[in-house]
Amino acid sequence: MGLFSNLPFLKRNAPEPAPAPAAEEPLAAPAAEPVPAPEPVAPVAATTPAPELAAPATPLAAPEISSQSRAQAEEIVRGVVAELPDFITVAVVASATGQILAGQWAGHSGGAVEVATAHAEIVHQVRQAIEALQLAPAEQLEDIVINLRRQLHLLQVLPQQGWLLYLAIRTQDTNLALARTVLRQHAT
Amino acid sequence: MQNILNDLPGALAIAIVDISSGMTLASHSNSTINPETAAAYNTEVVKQKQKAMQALKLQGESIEDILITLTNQLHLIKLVDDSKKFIYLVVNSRDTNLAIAREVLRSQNDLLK
Repeated sequence: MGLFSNLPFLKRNAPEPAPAPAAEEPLAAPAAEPVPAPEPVAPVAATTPAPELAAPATPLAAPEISSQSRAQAEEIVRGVVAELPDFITVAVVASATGQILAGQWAGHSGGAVEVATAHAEIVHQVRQAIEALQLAPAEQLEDIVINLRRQLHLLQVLPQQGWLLYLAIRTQDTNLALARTVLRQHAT
Repeated sequence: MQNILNDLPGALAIAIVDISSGMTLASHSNSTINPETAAAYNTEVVKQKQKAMQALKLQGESIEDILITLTNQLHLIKLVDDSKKFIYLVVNSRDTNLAIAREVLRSQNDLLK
């Protein structure tokens, strides 16, 4: 039985928010959320798309994120923030585990961990659907756009690192085409 | 649903899905895509996003639509009927552009009220 055969994807993860980047801007660091003890997850190879259908043979510790990866994730966040300064949230999340690697939150960051986990689960469900609909390998997931009444939430797949780039922004502060262009630049 | 098919003859699959059950109320496929299978997974996608929004305590907000971009396909999920149902539409992105597909769904929305 694989780890992914049950929906309780959420139970397996206890992602910790990334430390706030050295701030030019007065943004709050994500609140330290009381999280349950991390449950073992399969290690994620940083250079390949997340092996989401693999089951570990033995329980393993939660993957450590290298400082190099964190630095790269922070660089991506800074790049998006520079082009979309009216953002609500910009975050880089590991798609296999939902761990937040870097992020900035305009205002409070409450719920950041749950949101990151939920988005990683959404991507996982979409990828499972692609398999179940026999669309793979010709069809790969590129991005997901969620339109709310007054906000736009974008999830851009970063295939090189197995990450997701998440943007939440008010529709009055951008347009979809621009936001997608900005995020896509990081998906090379 | 016939209206949507008339306006988007290149649609690869289409379904109207009840969110609480994940089951299709109507569906049609012009491809190998099984709308019932897609409906089940897409229902989970919608529910996950609704859960995420609860965690954020967003006031006065709701999901209008979800657009999933694949290499050559666009999968749209348009929530209708007070977020009790969604219309699911798959088009080939070379044949149909996003703005047209969304507009067709928006104009058909009233028929489901």
